[in-house]
Amino acid sequence: MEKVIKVAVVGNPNVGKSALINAIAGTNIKVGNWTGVTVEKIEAQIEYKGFKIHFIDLPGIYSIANKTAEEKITIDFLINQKPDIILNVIDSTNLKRNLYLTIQLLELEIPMVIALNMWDELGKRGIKIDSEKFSKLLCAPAIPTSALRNLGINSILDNIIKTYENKDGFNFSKCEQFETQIEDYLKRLKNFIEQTHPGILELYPQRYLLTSILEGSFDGYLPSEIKEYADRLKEEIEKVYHKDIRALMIEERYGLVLNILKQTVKEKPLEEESLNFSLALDRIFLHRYLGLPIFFILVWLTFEMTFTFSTPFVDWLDNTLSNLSLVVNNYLKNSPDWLRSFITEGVLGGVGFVLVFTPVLFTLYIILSFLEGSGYIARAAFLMDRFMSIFGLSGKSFIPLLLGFGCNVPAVYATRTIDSPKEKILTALMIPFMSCGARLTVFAFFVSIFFTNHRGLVIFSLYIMGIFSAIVIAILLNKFYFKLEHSYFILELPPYRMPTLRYMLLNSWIRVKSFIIEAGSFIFATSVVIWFLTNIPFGVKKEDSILGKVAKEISVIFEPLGFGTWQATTSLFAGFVAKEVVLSTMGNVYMQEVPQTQEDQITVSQFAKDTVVGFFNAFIGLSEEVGQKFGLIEKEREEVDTGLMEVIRDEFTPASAYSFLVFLLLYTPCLATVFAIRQELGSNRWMIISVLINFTTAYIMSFIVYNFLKIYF
Amino acid sequence: MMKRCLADLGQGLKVKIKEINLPKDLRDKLYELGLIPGQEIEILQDAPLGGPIKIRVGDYCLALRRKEAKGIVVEEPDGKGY
Ligand SMILES: Nc1nc2c(ncn2[C@@H]2O[C@H](COP(=O)(O)OP(=O)(O)OP(=O)(O)O)[C@@H](O)[C@H]2O)c(=O)[nH]1
Ligand SMILES: [Mg+2]
Repeated sequence: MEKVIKVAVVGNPNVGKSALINAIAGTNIKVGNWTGVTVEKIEAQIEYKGFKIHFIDLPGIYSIANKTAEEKITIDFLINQKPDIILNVIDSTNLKRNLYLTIQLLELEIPMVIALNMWDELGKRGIKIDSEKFSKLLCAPAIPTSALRNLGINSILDNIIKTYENKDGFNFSKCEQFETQIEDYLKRLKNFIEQTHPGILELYPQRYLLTSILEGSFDGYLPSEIKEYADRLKEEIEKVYHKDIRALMIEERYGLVLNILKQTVKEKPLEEESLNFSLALDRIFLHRYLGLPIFFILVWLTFEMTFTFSTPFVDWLDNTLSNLSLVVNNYLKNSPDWLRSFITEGVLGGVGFVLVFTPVLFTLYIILSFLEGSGYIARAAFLMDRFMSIFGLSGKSFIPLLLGFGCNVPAVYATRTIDSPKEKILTALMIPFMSCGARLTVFAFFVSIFFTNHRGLVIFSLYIMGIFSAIVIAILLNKFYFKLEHSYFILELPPYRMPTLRYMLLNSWIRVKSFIIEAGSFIFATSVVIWFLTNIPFGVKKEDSILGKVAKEISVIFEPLGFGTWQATTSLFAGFVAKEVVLSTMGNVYMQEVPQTQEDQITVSQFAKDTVVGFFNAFIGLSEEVGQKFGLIEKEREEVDTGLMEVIRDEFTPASAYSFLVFLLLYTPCLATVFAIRQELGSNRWMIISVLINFTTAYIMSFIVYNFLKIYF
Repeated sequence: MMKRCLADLGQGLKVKIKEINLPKDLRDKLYELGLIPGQEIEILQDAPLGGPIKIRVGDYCLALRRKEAKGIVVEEPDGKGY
């Protein structure tokens, strides 16, 4: 039978743990240049030389003593799940702080392999590390690696196997030695436990148990006798050293680290090139006065680019899909009407409406992944910290909010890195107001009907409205409920890194793919349900169907908002499940008759040719679009309405359309987000409160907006 | 002699940490991030309107709020008081 080796991948945040696993196992675990990308344990497997090696990617930690929510995941895993091996990933350009953790990990008495990652960046900084000496001093093989250049991958695997096979031959404790007196205190504590409760020594790695009890960071069950004894020892130590034991032990560990560095780091550089580059960029991006304006310009550019770059591809997809619908319709011309209606309208139409806007998503995600990969995201947190402190939050909360513009679900999980529980709840309640990619597709559709001349502006205004609502809610909640005052903000600012094209494309593709899959599965399901509900009893008009009648009853509540129709109501219901299905549902409920077999026919080969040619034309369109942006080219935009567009144009006024979008923006984003909130906050209460807050805000804002716009339009 | 803290100092100065007078959990956090007595740090950046500051701790950069910086007592790199 194959032997399974369980390898826990542990290290400081942002050292390349996930990237290294990806390089080893060929997985696509999310990577990003800021601290706290991984907040959940993620597994990856590889077979190597007859072994099944099981990697567990864990959230980054600075220490095993301090425990925020995501750090707890890592530490609990190490202590309770007893991995066979720890793969300690180290950022070689930042040895001192990284080695602090390494020393602490030795206390867990688990065999260790060390990856000296980011080895490729060392050259730039002119540092030389003696990795062999390193291995000796740390009781564990230390291997230079680079996840970026695929360096050291096999060596890591070989050493994991070697270490696994010599498991019992290791003596972990000899590498962490405090000064004699502290070791004596540890020994006294051990003797005391041995005499009173020897069982406890069996439950934990011994060294970890003793040091963490003495440091006061142990949070498992302890008999009061031991606690009292430890407290007495602590008092004694403080009398002797005039320092508390925790500080003393941290200093001791740093002393060990310095000692190792003295013997292994060969050359200290004079010019630290790559760091200088980051420092220079920060002088611009974090500039006292320019920093914030630059940030806002970047945000604005993101929207502009999202639309400019995607428009030609949206047009191309639109054409392709309506041609496809013709081809299929033609193909089905002898089938019964209901089947044709179901396939072309319900399925193809539905999927089509959503697919058409994937280029918008893709461009948005490309830009977001550039922000994530470059390290700018931590700078945004830095710049926004002062502002966030107004309602008791810190810049750290800004990162999940920013991620929310991609998708709210991972954003909710990203709140795990926030230390204070109250700040975390408040941040999670703000996230649903951040307009995600799925909502963007609906905006894009409506804007292309009603606001062709101000597309960017209208969508930008919606995003701003979401942010504005979140802020008002946060201020109110904080004033009357949370009353947060003393938050703090400590965040590492990683060096800037140039994300590779591959990284950006892959990242965006993964997200677009999951959007399509999500949309695909939901659309099919909702299409089937809605198709049936709008066709029962058989033969009646859609609005007299069961769904039509029920939705009609409910729709009165939307009357004051300008869209009190049963169709709009139904679409909003579907949108509660997922915003991906709003457009397809609209297609289902707004389109009245069964499509006729069109006269204009198209052959399959013609279709294929149009599709390919159209794709290349889209690139030409792209340059035109960009040219037009800068006023270089005048371009006439010809609008071709598809069926749904025509209907929507008749059913909504610009005012009611905008009001509809505001509602769509602000009410609960999707079921997945609701569940994420429940899971992350561990409470049904907050989940319900979140949904209520969103509905109320949506209703109030739409009401105001509609009645205001009605005056002018 | 007056104690000087990190928050009082201007951009571009290099100093050494003398002690940290902050609540214990916060102090331990900073300690474990390498801000221990004797560590040299450099103040790199100031955000406007009383926002956070960016410092360099050995090989890496860290953002802190002014309030925390007030609790970090520093001295000149050669060990003399400020
Ligand atoms: N130059 C270089 N960059 C690397 C290397 N490994 C990772 N990176 C980059 O370092 C950053 C962090 O990588 P991640 O894999 O997300 O780091 P992590 O340790 O998983 O971080 P957390 O999940 O936040 O704890 C990313 O920008 C990577 O592209 C490497 O060997 N060389
Ligand atoms: Mg990670």
